[in-house]
Order: sequence, then structure tokens, then C-alpha cells
Amino acid sequence: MALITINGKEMQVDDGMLLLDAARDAGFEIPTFCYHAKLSKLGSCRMCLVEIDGMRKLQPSCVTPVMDGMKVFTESPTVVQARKAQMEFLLINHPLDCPVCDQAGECDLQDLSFAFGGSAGRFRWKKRTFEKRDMGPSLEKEMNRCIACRRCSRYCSEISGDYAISELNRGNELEMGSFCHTPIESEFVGNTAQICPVGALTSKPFKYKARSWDLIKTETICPHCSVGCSITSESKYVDPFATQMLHTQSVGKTEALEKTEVKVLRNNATVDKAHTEISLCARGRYGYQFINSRERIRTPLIKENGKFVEVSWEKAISVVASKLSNIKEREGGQAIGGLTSGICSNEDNYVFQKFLRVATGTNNIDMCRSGDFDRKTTILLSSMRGNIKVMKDSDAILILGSSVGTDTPIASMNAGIAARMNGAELTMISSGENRLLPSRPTQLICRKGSENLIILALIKAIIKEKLYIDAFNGERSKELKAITSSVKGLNIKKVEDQTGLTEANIMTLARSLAGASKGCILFGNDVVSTHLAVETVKAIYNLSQLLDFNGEKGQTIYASTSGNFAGAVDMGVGPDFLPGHMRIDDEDSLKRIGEVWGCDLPKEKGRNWDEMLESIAAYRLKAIYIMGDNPAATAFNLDKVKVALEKLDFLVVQDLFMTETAKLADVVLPAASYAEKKGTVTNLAGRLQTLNRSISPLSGTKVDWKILNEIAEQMVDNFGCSDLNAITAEIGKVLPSYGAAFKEGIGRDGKILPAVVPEDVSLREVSVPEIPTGSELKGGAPLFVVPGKDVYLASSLSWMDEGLSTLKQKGSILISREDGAMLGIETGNKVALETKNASVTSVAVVSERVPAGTVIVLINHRDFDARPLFDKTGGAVGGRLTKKG
Amino acid sequence: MAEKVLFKNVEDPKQYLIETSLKKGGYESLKKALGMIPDEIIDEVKAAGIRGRGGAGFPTGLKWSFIPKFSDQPKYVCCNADEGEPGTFKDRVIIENDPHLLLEGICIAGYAIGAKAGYIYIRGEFAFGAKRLEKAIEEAYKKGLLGKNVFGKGFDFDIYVHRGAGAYICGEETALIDSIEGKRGMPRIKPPFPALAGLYDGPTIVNNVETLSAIPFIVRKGGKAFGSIGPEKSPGTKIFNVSGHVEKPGSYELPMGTPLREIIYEHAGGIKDGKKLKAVIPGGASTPVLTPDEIDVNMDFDSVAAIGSMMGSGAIIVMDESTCIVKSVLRLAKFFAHESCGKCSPCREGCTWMVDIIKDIEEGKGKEGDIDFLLSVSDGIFGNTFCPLGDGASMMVTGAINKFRDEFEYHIKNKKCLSAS
Repeated sequence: MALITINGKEMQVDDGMLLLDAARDAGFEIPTFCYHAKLSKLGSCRMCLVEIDGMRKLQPSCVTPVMDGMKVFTESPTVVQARKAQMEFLLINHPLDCPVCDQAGECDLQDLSFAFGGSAGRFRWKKRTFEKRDMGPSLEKEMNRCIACRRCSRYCSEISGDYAISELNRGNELEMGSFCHTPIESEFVGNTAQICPVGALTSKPFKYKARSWDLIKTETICPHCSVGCSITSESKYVDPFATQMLHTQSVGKTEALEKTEVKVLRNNATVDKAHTEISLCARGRYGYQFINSRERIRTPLIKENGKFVEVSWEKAISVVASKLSNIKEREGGQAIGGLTSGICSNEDNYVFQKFLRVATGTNNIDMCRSGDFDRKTTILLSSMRGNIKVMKDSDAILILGSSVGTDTPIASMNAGIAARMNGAELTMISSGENRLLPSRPTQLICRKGSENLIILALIKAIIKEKLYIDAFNGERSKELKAITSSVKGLNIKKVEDQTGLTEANIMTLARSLAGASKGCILFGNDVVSTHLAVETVKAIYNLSQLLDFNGEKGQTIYASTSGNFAGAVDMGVGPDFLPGHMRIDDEDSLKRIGEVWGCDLPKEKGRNWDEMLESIAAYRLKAIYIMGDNPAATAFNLDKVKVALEKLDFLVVQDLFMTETAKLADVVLPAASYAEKKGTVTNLAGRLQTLNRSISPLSGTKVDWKILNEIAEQMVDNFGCSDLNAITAEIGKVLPSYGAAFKEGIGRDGKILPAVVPEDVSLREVSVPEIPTGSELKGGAPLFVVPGKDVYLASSLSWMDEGLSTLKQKGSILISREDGAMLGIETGNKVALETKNASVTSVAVVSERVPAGTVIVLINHRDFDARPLFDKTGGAVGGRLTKKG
Repeated sequence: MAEKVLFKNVEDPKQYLIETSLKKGGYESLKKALGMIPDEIIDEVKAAGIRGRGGAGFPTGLKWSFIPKFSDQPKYVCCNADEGEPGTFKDRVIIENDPHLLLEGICIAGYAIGAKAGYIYIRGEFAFGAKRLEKAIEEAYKKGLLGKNVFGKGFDFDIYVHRGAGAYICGEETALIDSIEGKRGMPRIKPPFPALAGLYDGPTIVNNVETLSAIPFIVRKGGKAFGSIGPEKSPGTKIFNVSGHVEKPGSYELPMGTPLREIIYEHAGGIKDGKKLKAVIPGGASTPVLTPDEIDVNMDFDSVAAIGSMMGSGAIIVMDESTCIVKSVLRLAKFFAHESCGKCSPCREGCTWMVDIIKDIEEGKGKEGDIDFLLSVSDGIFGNTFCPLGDGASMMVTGAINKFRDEFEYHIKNKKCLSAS
């Protein structure tokens, strides 16, 4: 502790504390521009100068640590005069364009010049001006407004790690810009607009959309991936005239939106709320335009003679209720199934599964996900939870699969921070894009589909060198024995051949992970979406157990693009488990839930999605209810899905948009988006967070659970989900951990729920799987074709977002610089890609993030269907690439 | 006349060759040093009382003693050869004519602080000097005077030449370090000082060429021999660069404390063409200007400071009666504005603003009150900048107005120059 005096007030403060923080804590105002708590110290704007007794010059308090006995003056005449001078310096070249500046109203320069500036300007010379430069689709730069605080360039080197913005030139001509003034392509650079204290960097999609003081701010949770960042959704009442004007300008059409309404106009990161600091990815920051999209369905539709007809809600609901009731009566509950999505809130999903179990009497419930998972695997997957903020302090991190970078960019970014800023050993095992390239991970390029084998090899290496935690020598020795015997048959030579990794790679990695004091394994969807998914999940679980990476020594995190995956699992979205992961084949569980619901539950085990498709083909399943998912566009086995859905007697789709799936439906029910509802979601850390409503449901749409409740009320008595409080209370009853959290109050930062311990998943279940041979890749096919995702469109909601569509990659086929040079292909060239399954043409992008010998095909570009290239499981295939003009 | 410490051999056109240097006793001090305990060398340097010749005058021995004895990080010697202060051209003479003297000094410094590598950060424009240094280093490696096991005493030392890219700010020690690291040359926050975390975060000393070149003498003859030259508090010899309106401009190695008048009128041959002296900048562009009645000052750190200016790097710029002070101030102000790195607001904005104002005055567009206006802008810079660059610009302007306010006033009132009329 240090005893210091600020303006005569004595105080005890922690050693090493910044003088600025000490003064602010004590209630003394010190203005700053360049200082930012999340960035390195710079001390350059000189606004925070203070007088320290015994020091010749004024000192910048934002970089000066306190020292015992320091006497500080923050308001002495010298300080006040110096501050005024600095304020004047910053203003002399600043344009007087506040009336047209998007920063106006939330501008530090405005505020501080009001507080500390002079009343008249003395500068009579020509102001410094810079050439206008395009910073790409996400950022608007007005360099003339810049005060050179360098928050943006520090952000790009210290946090996002993509070095998108840096300093150019020097002195009076210092400019913040991109390399060679090229437009920036970065999923994080938009964050600089939020930390820019002036209007130099602002959000391009937000340009001239609103005055900041007109915005209504609502704290809610981003739905675009399972990280669940805290966002402040900013909305505004848009009057018809303005709407028309805006629309005329931006689209060139003259019609206005049919109704006046509140529009979401901007998303910002909610600073320091839960695990969110200052960053959002591009999806979180810019993926809001879908909410007020003109493409939203605004009225229920019923298909008559192959054409959709608009109907009233009453009509639509009674049609769905009676149709489902008929089928239930005629063929039993097993003839009905439901598919939901990890995007929907806990309440939506809770009501969804209750609806199917109670109203239609079936356990045919699933959500679209990658693997053919049973209850154990699903629970296992959702039990691997961890805090991505804590991850920044890890000293060894393993990223499994390249989808982590595209699906959960913020998790990936934090791994980069750990490596770049904190010296963590970062290893990435992937077959695809390396989005962490500037953080220099050790990238181990493996064959797609061989991840499972690598994990098993890691397990074997850990056992061989006895790198596991002590517990396995003692009370858990039996488990160790089981794991040991399960990987006994693993031949390292075979592993080397099949994976492309060497034994040395694997040993080094094993030692690095085992040597960590706080380690982390982060794995993504592409690892658990192969045909070995179930085995892979178990293997990862075992690996984490050996290293205690689900406990003291680190964490293992499943990073899914599905925003509320963990919540959906908790809510009982699955064919063989009930809310709270209770077994469907357990009488007690059925009874317990049955008591809460006041009815008997169907006992027959349900079908998962793949099984449902089979049953449709076998004419056993007649009706499907799909909420918020679009399997007719996203599955690799697209044909099978489409044929099956067309074959159904009755298909209900509840969605925001007329999706590919909705087009096949008999009834389409317009739902409300996350921004239009209250509720809760559970993220990859098991953090229960509150969704707040930033706008009312668009006219004509309804919140998911409300629609389900209305239908259910026509089918059964006392469904009991007519308002949110009732639903919450019920969830609390069936899920004690949620109940406790609700009772205590979730709070602003949410509440981390205790991880579910999979009670009956024993380590003995590990088995050496069938190894993908990769033989079909040989025979003259020179390149390895791997499916990848466009980071901007990696969530299902982003597909319909106009804003994100402007950010997306300009081509769909990504190749390495080496292959580009060899084949004479440059970015922007049209290329043809041929595999044994199909041939496609698209625009190529040459990227240093792509490993040589690999072609990454972006499967989430709407205008380009790449799925036929691949096998039905989405595994890699051999391919040939040729330049086309 | 005291013995020459630095310029003893610079006039020999072959001195840059290692053979010549060795014949005249080059590297003998290094050999002697390697037989000493490192601390003994630091003690000798302390006893010599030598103060940093880059301009700040910080005691060199003290600087070296700040280097921690034990460190996990490698230690480094950085030689500041970014001689960029207008009017300064002393280091260049040593680099081009006696490069081995400097290399020897760097090696001794490296041995004294326990470094294994030294970097010479040389001003980008010194292409010839850089070549000479590269050649000299190559020769020294061949003779076993650099590299592994120097003089067979188990001391390993490498020297690298790093050429600057044309930034005055890189003469500031932390900007220099950043520049060597491949970063944009901008000053760092101190603390940590380079002695604790400098180049690549290792303990680092940054010394001027002239300082390091004096080390062989100190080691050979002892600190006392050096300390006995000149005044007690800033001892030794000093290279004075005299430029401007004198008969014999050039570099002169003289004892510290030599009166400015003697330097101008005896060594530099007096004012050119018998004209009258008007002003003298005593220590480089950033030091406040002196009037003719102040030139009896002794040229050492403390004496010049006592009359409100600085001896700085010893760059004496002499201006005769035909000089327009406003114009010369404008020229220097432009230099500082051009060289400001842009890191901190007062220097970035203020230096250019001062140019705007002085330019108006010089061009006859000045308004009444502009002088006080200029002073207030200068005041807003002084003491508030991140590094001394902005302070230098401010001191230069304020100093000139204090001494020659009438010239500025004449410009504003008569829209022309006093010296031209």
C-alpha cells in the first residue's frame, strides 16, 4: 500500500496503481483521450497531466504509478493551464462538422472541450486535411477528425491481432490507416469505431442513420454464436418519411416500409459486462439488419394448391392445431416430430419440447446439429464448458478445428491474445483456414476427418509419458487402465500416415498441454461433425479428464456457432432426454416432470433428426414442426432432406424468413427475432444470461413460445405456458440449477450454472475408430478440398442479413499463395473446381491463411451451392482446380 | 593545450584502416580492459567524471552502474550515432576517420556491463560513415578483436550497424531502441528506463559516439587523467562544432569550459568578412540563442545552463549582423515541425502551429499580439510533451523572442525585416 495525497486528500492505495485510477477512484475528474483501460499505456494525448510535488514537469497520470508519499495536484493553476493548452492543440485542426458527424453526442472531444476548452478559437490558418480513404465495408474513416490517440492501432495489434490499422507518416501528417490504404477485411476492425473517442472511425452501416441521442439502448445478448457476447442494441423510432428517404438512397427503390416502427440501427459491445470486454465480431456488431429486413414474413401463410395464401393468426393456429390433433389421433404421437434450433431462447425451446411431448405426445425432438448424437454424447458435449475471458490467461491452448475461428471469432481472438500478449503456447490442429495467423500459432495441418485419431494419439502420448494428473495414479487408476487399454491398438506409424502429423508433433503438444498451469482446449463444430463425431466427443472428454482440463488445470470448451446450444440441451431438446438431462427411460424422471406438467409423458424413446428423416421415407412419420431451423439449405445430405420434407403430410415452419425449408411447408408462422423478445440464453460457459427486448415484435409476428402455447391450448387443456413468468417458474421447477439462479436473480453479468456432470459416461467407452483412409484422394487428384465457412455468414441468422452480406468474402473458393502461384490463379479470378461428386465455378481468393495443397470451399454463400462437391458427411475430397479466364 | 582524447588520429587519412589504428595503439585499451574486473572499468569511468556527450550531460559511469549485474535477459550496448541535431557534425568525424576508436569504446562498454552485443544506430544520411564502420567491423572480426573470445580472454562480442531511416526523433534513446527493434521510431514511456528494460527488453545502455570514443583513453590513462582536463563538474575534452558566419567553421576538440568567445574568435577565426556578431546558438538547434554580450560564458554543461541556455551537443551556430532572426527561427521551427514524430498532441499540433505563426510574422502578415500569441503556444508545448523534442522547439522559439523581441516586433509593424533595411 502507498499513502498518497491528491489535492490535499490523503488516501491509501495499492502499490503500482495508476495515478489516474487513484484520482478517479477518489472522485477527482481527470480528462483523457488516449488512455483506455483495455489497451497498453501510451501517455500521448497529454490531457491527464498532473502536478506532482518535487517533480520539475507535469506528469501524465495515465502512465504514472503511485509512489508512497506522493503529493499530487490535479487542479492547480499549472495543470489547468496545461490542460487548456492541450485541448486547444487537439481542436485547432479538428473540423467543425459536428452537425454531420455520427459521433456527435457520444464524442469525448465534444464533451471534454465543453468541460475544459476555451470559448474562442485562435487558429486562423488552414486546417490540416487528409485524402479520403476507403476502409472497407465496415468502417467509415474521416481522418480530419482524428486526434491521434492511437486506440485503433493499439487495438489492432494488441487485441484483435490482425494489424488492420496502423500509423502512417509522422508528425503533423500522422495518419491512421490500413496497409497501402487498401480496404480492410477484418471481422474485428469494426470494434475500433466503438473505442474511437472522436468521429474519425465510425460504423459504415450506421452512417447517417441516426443521431446518437435519439437511440434507445437495450442490453441484450448476441445470438450469432455460443460465446454469447453482451451487446447494446440501439434502436430508434423511424418515421415513414425518413424511412422512405433512407430506402430511396440505399436501395434505389421508392417504396417505403409499409409501417412505421422501431428499428435496430446499431449494435455495440456492452463494455465489461460478463465476459464481454470491448470486442464483438462482425456478426455481433453488424448482424442486426435482418431484424428489420423487408424480407421478414409478416403474416401467417397457408399453402393452398401449391401457393401460399395469407391468413389470420386465428386461422393459422386452428389449422395447425387441428391437423396435428388429427394425425395424433389417427397415427399416434410417434407420427409427429419436431426440429428446433440452438438460436431460440431457453423459454422457446422449453415450450417447444413441452409442446411436442404434451400436445402431440411424442419424443421425436431434436435440434439441427452436426452429429448423430445420443443423450450421453449430447450431454457430454454440453458439459465441456469454459470461460473465454479466463482463457486469455492460459499458458497452453489447443484449438481443434478451423471452425473455431469462423464460428466463434471472439473465442478464437482471445486465444490469439493469450499467445501474442501473454506468451501462451498456442497450437492449432486444423485442415482449413488459419484465422489466427498473425498470432503465430503452431499450426499442425491435419487431414480432415483425422482429428479423432490425433486426439487418441495425444491420449496415448500422455499415458506413455505419464503426463496425466496424479489422481490417475490413485483413486482413478481403474479409469486409467480402461483408457490405456482402449488406445493400446493405436499404432503411431498408422497415425502419422493417416493424419499428416508426426509423432514428434504429438509428443510436443502433449508435453505443452500437460505442462500448463492453466490450459485450454477449444474445439469446434468441424471436429464433431464427421462420421466419427460420437467417438471424437468421447475422446476429447477423456483427454480433458487426463489433464484435468475440466477442472483445476484448465478448461475444455465446445465452441459452437449455435447461440444457445447449451441452453437447448438443458431444456430437454432431445429424443432421449427430458429437461435437466433426465433420462426418458427412467420412471422417476417421467413421474417428476409429469407431476409438474400435470399429465403423462410419452415413454417411447424419440427419434433424432436423422432417424426422423428415415421414418418419413418409411411413411411412419407424417408431420414435422420446425422452429427456427433451415435443414433444406444447410445439410450436406440436402436431397434426402428435401425429398423427405416434401413427402410429409404436414409440415409447419416457424421462422423469420421464407427459407428454403419454409417454402416446402404447409403452414408458415412468422416468428419474432431475438431482439423482439425477453427471455434467457445459456452460453458455452454455461452462463445463463438475460435477453432483453430492444424492439417490439414486428407487426404480424409473434414470439416463438407464444405461438406454440396458442396452438397447444387448442390441443390440450392447461398447457400452462401463457406468460413468461409461468414458463420461468416451470423451468425453475424442473431444472433446479435454473430455479436457483432465477430465485437469486441472474443479474447483469448472468450466472454461471454448475456444469452438468455426465453421471454415466465412463471413460471405458473409448474405442479406436475406423480411420478414414483418404485413398480416394489419391489417383491424380492434386488438391484437398475442405468445406469452410465465411466468418461473416457463419450463423444461420446472418444468412439473411443485408449488412453482413456486404462484408462477406468476395469469392467462395479459397486457395493458398503457393497453389495460386503454381496454378497462375489470383484473387478475383474465376476458377472451376472439380471433385468426384460434382464440379462448380466461382471466384477464387488467394489467402495466406490457407495451407498449401488445400482448397477451402465456403459452403455458406447463398449464391453458391458447394455442397454437391462433398460426400454426404461433409468430409474432405480430392479435387482439381483450373483457371477459367 | 590538453592532450587530444578523440581527435588524436583523425587527420591521418589511413587511420580508418585497422593496420594504422593498431600501429598507433588501437585496441590496446580493450586488451587492458579485458584484464580488469568489469566493475573496475565502471569505477574508472565514474572517476573520469565524463558526462554524456549527446547533449543531456548525464554522468556516464552512473548510467553504466544502473545496469543490473544479473539479468535473465541479454544486455546490450547501443551507440547513438544518429547525429541529427542541426549544427552538429562531431560524431561523423570520428566515425569516418577513426572508426576503430569507437568500436574499441563500444567493446569496452560491453565488457563493463556484461553485454554480448552492441548496436551502432547510425543516421541514415551517413552512408559513407556506415560503410566505413561496416568495413572496420569486418577488419576487427578478422583480427579477432570482435566475435568469439576477443584477445583470447573468453569475451564474446558482436557489433551490428543499424542505419536509421531519416528521423531526428530516433536520436532519443527509447525511439532509437524501438527503431532497432524494427518498430516505428517513437519514444517509449519511462520508466522502465533502458538500463532495466531497453533493447528487446534487455538491460541496455545508450551512449553517444563521442562518449564511447573517450572510453579507450579513460581505460588507458585512467579516469583521473581525463577528469583533470577542464572544469571539475564537467571534465574532459569536448568536440565543438562551429558553423555559420565564421572564418574557419569546423570541429574543434578543446577542453571543456573553453570560453565561447575563444572558440569563435581564436579557434574558428572570428566572424566572417569582419562583420559584427549578432547571435550564437551554443549547443544545437534546440538550445536558446545567446547575444554577443553573453559569449564570455565557459563552454561546459553547468556554465551555459547558468545563463539560461544549454551546451547540448556543443554545436555552435554563429550568426552575424546580416542574419534575420525571425527567418532563422522559422527555419528551425520548420525543422522541429517536420521531425516531430506525432506521438503527443502538444508537439504534433503545436510545432506546426508555431511555424504558421512565425511564417506569418516573417512574411509580413503578422498581427499585433502575435508575439504573445506565439509565446503562449510555445508555453503550451513546453514541459508538456512526451519527450524533449517539443521542449527543444519551444525553448528555441521562446529563447529567440526573449532576446530579439524587437526584431519580431519590427517585422509585424513594418512588414519587413530589420536586418534587410
